[in-house]
Amino acid sequence: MPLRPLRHLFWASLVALPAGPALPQPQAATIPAGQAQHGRALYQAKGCYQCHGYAGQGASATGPALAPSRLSAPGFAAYVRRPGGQMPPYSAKLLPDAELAAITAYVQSLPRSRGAAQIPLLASYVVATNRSPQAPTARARPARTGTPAVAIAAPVAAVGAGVYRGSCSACHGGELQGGAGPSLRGGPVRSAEQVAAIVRNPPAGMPRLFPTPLSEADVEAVAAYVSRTAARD
Amino acid sequence: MNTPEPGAGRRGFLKGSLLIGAAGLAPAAGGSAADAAPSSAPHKPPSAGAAVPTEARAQRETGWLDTDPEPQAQVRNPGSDFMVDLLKRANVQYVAATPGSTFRGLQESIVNYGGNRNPEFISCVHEEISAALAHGYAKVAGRPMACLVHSNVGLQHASMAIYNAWCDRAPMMVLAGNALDAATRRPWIEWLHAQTDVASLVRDFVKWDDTPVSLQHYAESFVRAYEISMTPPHEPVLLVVDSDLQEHAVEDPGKLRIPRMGVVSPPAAEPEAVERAAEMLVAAQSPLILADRVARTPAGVDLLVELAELLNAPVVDRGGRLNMPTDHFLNQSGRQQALVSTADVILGLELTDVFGLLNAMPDLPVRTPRSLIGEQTKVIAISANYAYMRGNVQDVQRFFAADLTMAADAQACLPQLIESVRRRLRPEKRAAVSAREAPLRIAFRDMRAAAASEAALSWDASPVGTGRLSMEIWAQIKHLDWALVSSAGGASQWPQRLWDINKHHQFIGADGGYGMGYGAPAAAGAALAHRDAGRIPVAIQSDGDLMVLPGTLWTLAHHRIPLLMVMHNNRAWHQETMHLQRMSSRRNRGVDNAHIGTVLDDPAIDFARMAQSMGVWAEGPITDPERLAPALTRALNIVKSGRPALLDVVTQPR
Repeated sequence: MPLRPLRHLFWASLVALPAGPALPQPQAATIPAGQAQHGRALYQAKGCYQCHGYAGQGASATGPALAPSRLSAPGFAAYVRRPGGQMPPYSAKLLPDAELAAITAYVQSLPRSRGAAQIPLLASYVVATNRSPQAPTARARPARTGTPAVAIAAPVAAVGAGVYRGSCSACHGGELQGGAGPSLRGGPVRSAEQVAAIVRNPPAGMPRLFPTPLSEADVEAVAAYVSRTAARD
Repeated sequence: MNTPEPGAGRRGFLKGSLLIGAAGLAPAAGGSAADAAPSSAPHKPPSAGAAVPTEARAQRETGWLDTDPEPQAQVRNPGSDFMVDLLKRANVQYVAATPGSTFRGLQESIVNYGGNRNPEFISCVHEEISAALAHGYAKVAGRPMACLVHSNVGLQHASMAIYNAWCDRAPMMVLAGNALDAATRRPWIEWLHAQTDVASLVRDFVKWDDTPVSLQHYAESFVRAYEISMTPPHEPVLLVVDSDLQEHAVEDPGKLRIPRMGVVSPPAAEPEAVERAAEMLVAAQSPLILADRVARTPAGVDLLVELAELLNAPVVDRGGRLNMPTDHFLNQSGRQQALVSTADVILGLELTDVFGLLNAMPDLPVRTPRSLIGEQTKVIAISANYAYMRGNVQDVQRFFAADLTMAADAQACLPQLIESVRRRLRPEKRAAVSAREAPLRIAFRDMRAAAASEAALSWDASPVGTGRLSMEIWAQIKHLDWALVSSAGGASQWPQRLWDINKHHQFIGADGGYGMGYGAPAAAGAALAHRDAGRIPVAIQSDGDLMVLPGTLWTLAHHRIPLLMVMHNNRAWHQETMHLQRMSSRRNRGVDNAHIGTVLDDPAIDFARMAQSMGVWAEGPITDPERLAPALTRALNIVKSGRPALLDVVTQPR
């Protein structure tokens, strides 16, 4: 593959990775030094930034956020080779395995952003949920016009919705409609216990979120939320 | 022979100049031809003894010196003065144009006879700016302005902008100069810039056109054109303004009459159809309202809110105008996919593309549409578009068979629909409707929270995240009398997702026909209307769009139109970059080359200096998000002082 033009390297130098604590990444310790940097250059040369942004933030019309990374390395690579929706597939000819591995390493190195609750211009939009200590917590703010104020001690349903939004929606969609991951609607009806079991022992391609960053309480809450929401269809 | 009167003013000055010139050009008595030759040497008075040519001799030699106290070359009471009377009668406030000889008569009448006020002549360096400016203006002012174009070449320039206005259902009076009479056309240029049927260039995308051959004909056609343009569906109209009609004197002014200008009542649906729609909506368990251009006026917003609240029906605002306030809990535009898939009755109000909203057809090698709605879902479609479509232009979109279709103006139908719904809501149904409110309020809260979380993802990134860009702007304008005069589709629609847009004039939608180049001039036109109302207009301006018609910046400066223009400068025709990447991937080759022919880089365009060169205050390029807020403050101070300002912000792609 030819090297990218110099100006793309210039663009690469402009990208400032979002600040904030990094999520525990299962494979972070195994990423070779320099591979993430190489991956960043490839991320731009291969056009990943076009839909997912220079910071992996995604955009509503073009592609989901890649940061923080939720997929395992094999899951990420598998999706790049055979994506769903309108994402163009990247064959081994277009993106050899070694380059895909570098991009995967780069994406997995992208840290979590500050979060809306920590940003003054966005904090008022974020509603309080009763989150576990492992996950970022948003505090309730006075509601804007047309929205009710929400108490800090929200019921379990709201907890489950919050966990889903923060940990599941990136792949399964904000309304369980699917995306990088399968739709959770319209399939076999699963009880909360069955959903929880899947979260605790995920299939290949689905990230392992338990016991961290999700606690047992989080798993039960999100399982109840998903089971109940999917059953409404 | 008439003797010129002393102090005959301009006429006398001209005569005097000509006599002096004649003395310099024609040989004096006894002088040589060399004496008569034009010389670059300073003028010397005639030598002593040289005979001064008489006026009669000068007249013979020059052949055109007019000594008649009523010169034949003057035209009093030209027809174009009457045309200005019509513009004033119609309360046309502005006329945008690049000057052209085919409407020189009308232009002179505007600036002199009309006093360049109501209408005021707005100078544009390209006719496409003129038309797009008129497009943006109309959406704020609620009435058309005029756009003058120079016959065929001017109309060709303006045509894409007229098409955009057509697709966007915006009223506009296009006045095209033309020299109809071949016997009076000056050689060469007036033949190149004449056309037998100049309106044919744009007839497919104007609602009506005419070529008047007399001033009375012109008057009646002008009034008719205005009414047609302002009858829903609003559209551009075109009148050909013959040069001779402009420049010849009115033969009998006493006979000219201007018809009374009235308001045409918009088309409304049959009462039975409205009743049926109300019945379906009341019976629905999960009604959904899809709105695109229903709110033609501020009253349309109030009516939509009333209907939505009556039913506790979520509204997806497609953004052709401000239809549903973004801070109202029933504005659930961010949940479109989920709501469409679960609705049992869908009410579409002035939708552009019903098929496209209710079907998925991804851009894949094989395109098979997939319905997004349930088999039992009922669809009601109300639009004035159904009564007015063209065969050639394809903005009609793919056919969709709704269960109930009304060829009527949706806003005009809403009062009856609301009354019928209210009448049908029995107590037991009211309880079911009330039960929908709480979950919708939570869904609205979560929708906005999710949008805020997305905006946070690139908050500290460089290039600047579009969410950061939008929210920094919002922080500084939300306490002002502001208005957004651009769409933000390319910047992930952050204003619609996170700003509180609740007044009709605060958002005017987008281009309609997706013709690139709309953004800057339409923002200028909208800003012109907002200037009259004392508001602060803001545009989020993409780089590729501005490069189509950068001369818009000069018009902003020249006419002192206050506008805050914040660049969404991703240094690319980014959509096309993605298209090329898709093609490369599909063909399994060269995905690294998607930048070729799709980026605006190497060199990077210095938009700040470009704006400054045309008299617009500007700063940039800004790549550090921390510099945004102070720069916005400085720029807003300029805008508050009544001038345009541009900030070049280098951003993330979307």
